[in-house]
Amino acid sequence: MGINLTINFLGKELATPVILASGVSGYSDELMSFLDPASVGAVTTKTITLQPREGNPPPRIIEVPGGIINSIGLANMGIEAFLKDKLSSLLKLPMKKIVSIGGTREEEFPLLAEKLSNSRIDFLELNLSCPNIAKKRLFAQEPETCLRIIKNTKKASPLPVIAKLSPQVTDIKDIALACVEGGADALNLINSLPVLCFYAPGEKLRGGLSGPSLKPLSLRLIEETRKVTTLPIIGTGGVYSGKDIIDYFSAGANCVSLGSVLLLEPSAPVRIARELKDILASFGYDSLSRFSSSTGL
Amino acid sequence: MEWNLTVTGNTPLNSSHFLLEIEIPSSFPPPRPGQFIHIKTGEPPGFLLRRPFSIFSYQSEKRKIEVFYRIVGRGTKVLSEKKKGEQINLLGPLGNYFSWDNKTVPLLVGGGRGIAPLHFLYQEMKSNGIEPYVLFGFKNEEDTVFREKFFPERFFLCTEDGSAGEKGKVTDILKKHLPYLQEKINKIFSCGAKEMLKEIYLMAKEKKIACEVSFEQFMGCGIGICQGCVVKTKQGYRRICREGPVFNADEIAWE
Ligand SMILES: Cc1cc2nc3c(=O)[nH]c(=O)nc-3n(C[C@H](O)[C@H](O)[C@H](O)COP(=O)(O)OP(=O)(O)OC[C@H]3O[C@@H](n4cnc5c(N)ncnc54)[C@H](O)[C@@H]3O)c2cc1C
Ligand SMILES: Cc1cc2nc3c(=O)[nH]c(=O)nc-3n(C[C@H](O)[C@H](O)[C@H](O)COP(=O)(O)O)c2cc1C
Ligand code: FES
Repeated sequence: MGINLTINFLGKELATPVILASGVSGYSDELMSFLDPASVGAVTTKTITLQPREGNPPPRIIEVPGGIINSIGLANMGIEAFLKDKLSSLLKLPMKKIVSIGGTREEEFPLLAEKLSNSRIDFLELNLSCPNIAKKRLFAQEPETCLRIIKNTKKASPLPVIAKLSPQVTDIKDIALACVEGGADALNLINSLPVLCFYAPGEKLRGGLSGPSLKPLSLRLIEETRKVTTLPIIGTGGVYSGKDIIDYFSAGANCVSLGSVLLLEPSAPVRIARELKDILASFGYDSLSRFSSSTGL
Repeated sequence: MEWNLTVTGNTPLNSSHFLLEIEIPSSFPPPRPGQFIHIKTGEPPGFLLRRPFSIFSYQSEKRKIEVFYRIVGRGTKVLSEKKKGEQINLLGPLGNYFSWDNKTVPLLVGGGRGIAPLHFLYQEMKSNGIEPYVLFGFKNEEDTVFREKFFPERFFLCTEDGSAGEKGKVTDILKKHLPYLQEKINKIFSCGAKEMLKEIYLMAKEKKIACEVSFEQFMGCGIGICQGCVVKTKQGYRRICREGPVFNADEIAWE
């Protein structure tokens, strides 16, 4: 059935509410042979930093009950190589483009934003879950730092800014409000949750938990955040099915992003978009926008 | 590159090793020795990552590939329960492959399930008129499956407990035989645990013999997008699923 999945996100039309999350779609060209681009609303690059980063020693990725722990360590090619070698193929993709930027000093965000100002990408995403070297905490754990980073990034570039938040905070509302005050255009909840596992006796992996077990946490944090802001929210964490999207919309999200599911099933967006259509049809909706207005958003 | 294929056999070889046979369509890219497939052993939320396995053999005329695997955890346990006729979802063939030409006189050195890609390499070399030397090591006699497949005069077998072949680890036996084998061979190909590969590399280097090694590591996507599966090389980290699994041993930053 011709169910319309398009949504408006910050004044742009996304073909579907399905966004490919940062870190699980490479620099975005790699995944495309696996999926129908029409099933994807937007794609997010790996977080890019000013300098290339080697990342952490292996092992870097382990399956645990209910989730995946990764410790990639922000391995990436750095902004100059990205602009030179990857940007042009990214721009050829039909869906909207989000470039994720990060760093370990807050000054890096505006510098990166400036370099991307004229790049014809659609949105900037600030990975605020990076460790702030100066304070030995995540940027996303300090409201004032988030506010400053967003303000300075907005000054440096006309691109709309999505602030991606960490679940590891005392009160997500304080952080969300600081992002709103700083001028964020949208929020992405959530990045992976810092955890520890032993993959063999005495063999430790410290990293970020993602996957199905993150979904209830993310839903709760989105519900909380919705109490204090009307900004568009990308719901991230454990989206594996069309039903998961319905749950995210019901909690207050405006679209979702897919992370871990792409590691198991690179073609997942196609299936998930189809499932979403089937569910909407069974509810009697002919479009996603009608459904989302019914949730009061 | 994502396939739903039919299992045509899944045979126990002993208490923990199996041979999985998968039917492939004519559109399946011909795999090369060293390449692997990334199998979805189960569905989420129980199974969240695929499991990588080397291609053990490829028979183009019979349209099948085989995987030799050992049960070590949940994924391989579930795989061992797959029945003939069931479907299996996999990505592949993935990764790079061993390199050799008709001047190569190879010695293949492997331990345990690490013999899988070397078996495929052996088959391909044989069908190109090359008779490789082979040294395989196992824990005990029970694990020495497939020993009859190799040309006996050029096949060295060892077990840790001495229950079959010579007694000792692969690296011990290699050290013993290399002094005279070095006159005959000009390249070593190996696959197994990193510590073993390092010892083999150091011996090869000392004798100025070229050496290619195939690595294993925990994997995420298997297709180069997550940076989850790296090995440290002299040029920095490289992805085992993309730039590997086979590397020139000289390029590795051995620790
Ligand atoms: C390129 C490549 C080729 C491989 N080829 C073969 C093969 O031909 N035959 C075979 O039996 N196995 C092979 N492996 C190893 C195989 O992927 C693992 O044994 C399997 O993923 C374990 O899954 P599990 O769920 O049973 O074990 P888990 O429960 O996930 O883990 C059990 C134990 O297995 C080890 N392990 C888990 N994943 C890996 C991994 N990706 N690499 C190495 N060790 C791991 C860990 O030490 C862990 O403690 C290969 C691995 C790679 C990377
Ligand atoms: C292997 C891997 C790498 C990731 N890299 C990044 C990254 O570079 N930047 C970022 O903001 N988030 C990164 N993430 C987090 C995801 O974008 C996402 O927020 C998180 O995994 C939760 O979603 P999921 O449960 O769908 O995976 C990464 C996640 C994984 C699994
Ligand atoms: S497993 Fe994802 S890059 Fe190799």
